[in-house]
Amino acid sequence: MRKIVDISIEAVISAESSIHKALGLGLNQEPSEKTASLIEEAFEVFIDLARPKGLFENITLEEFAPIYAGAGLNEPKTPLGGIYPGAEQLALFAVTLGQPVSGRIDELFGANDFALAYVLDAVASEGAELAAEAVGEQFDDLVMGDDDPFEDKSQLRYSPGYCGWHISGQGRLFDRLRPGDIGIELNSSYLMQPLKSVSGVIVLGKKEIHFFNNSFPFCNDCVTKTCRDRLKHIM
Amino acid sequence: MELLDNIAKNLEAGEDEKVLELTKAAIQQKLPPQDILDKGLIAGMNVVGERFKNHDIFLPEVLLAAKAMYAGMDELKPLLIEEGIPSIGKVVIGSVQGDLHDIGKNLVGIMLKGAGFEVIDLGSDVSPEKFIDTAEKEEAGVIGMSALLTTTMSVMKQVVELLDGRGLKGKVKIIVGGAPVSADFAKEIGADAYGFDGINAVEKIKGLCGVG
Repeated sequence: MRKIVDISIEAVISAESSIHKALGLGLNQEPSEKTASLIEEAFEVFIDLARPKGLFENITLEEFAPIYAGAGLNEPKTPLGGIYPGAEQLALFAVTLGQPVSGRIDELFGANDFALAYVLDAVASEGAELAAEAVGEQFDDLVMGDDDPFEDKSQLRYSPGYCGWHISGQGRLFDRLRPGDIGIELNSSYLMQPLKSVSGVIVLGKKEIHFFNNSFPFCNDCVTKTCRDRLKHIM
Repeated sequence: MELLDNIAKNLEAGEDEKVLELTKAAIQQKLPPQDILDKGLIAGMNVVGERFKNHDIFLPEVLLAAKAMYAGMDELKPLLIEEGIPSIGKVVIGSVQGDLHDIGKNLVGIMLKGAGFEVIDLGSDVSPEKFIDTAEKEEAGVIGMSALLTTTMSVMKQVVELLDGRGLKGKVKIIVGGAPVSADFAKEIGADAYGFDGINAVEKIKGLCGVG
């Protein structure tokens, strides 16, 4: 099943605390008056310009295998390579906030309005993740139903370009999913336009399938370690 | 001098309109452009950099100060050119091929200009050849590369190798940065430096250029 998802603007407005964190503020730190005013302005611009849209399509394990393989440039072993064969459901997905908000960030940088551009970028990045989450929830609703007990199952999203899944995976993902229908295009370097877009695969299955040790060779180069936060979230 | 101190203080506070007004006043008073730059604009920006390093302020405040710096620089630049005052160095920057994320790279560019460097920003998704060709053509002293994806970091190594192949290693220095990049990675690929944020990158590039 392929579904274009309506995402409300409310669903992509992040909590201010997330923006504080993205801007480098600690848990108990309040922004200065000027920064607070910038955050308020950035949210206003974001609400005015963001046009969130999403898309997902169920896919079988067999169909996903060549998409994951991409152009054959993945790391020999990756977390996703070990995870997806254990999935009960898979879906390709893509979301975007539309060109106007990405364009506005560029315009603000071009006009030397760096601070607002930077805060808007943070608001939009958080918003794009929330859009992906909204699509994931719709997928969950669709496959789980209302009364199905899924306490032991969990869904996580994985994207090309991260954790050993080479960015060239975008090529076959786009061929299959056709995110052009919601306004996302892929360039020759497998990068999405508009910039504030997210794509990948939703993996639903028993919680245990998502667990892995972050001891892959490329984990040494990773300083963000967001995989650990994601796993904590589903535990 | 009080006027230059005022420029610095207003820049620290991110008051771009006031900095512009005071820079115009300093020019009208025939103060040497180099003094307006060094003792006003750059002095203010240096304080901002220190406060950021000490976690007294956060990036949005630094960027407000940078906007004020640019307001003053736009007024001052024609005079600096007229007097033949060179920039403190030329740096080519870009996000590597396969990477469209350019926020970090933009911040480094802003900070570099604020510190008095000439910056050639190649944008994002930049091929190794373009980095080297531009640095060679523009006679830049430093190439700064940014990557956000672990899968695009390898392009940084390609640039280092290409630079070596063209016989430019040592002549053109390389600094790398971005979320997945580390000092160890920089050393491993043979880069000359690693910058963990915009302010740190400027300090490292100053070191590479033998400035301040």
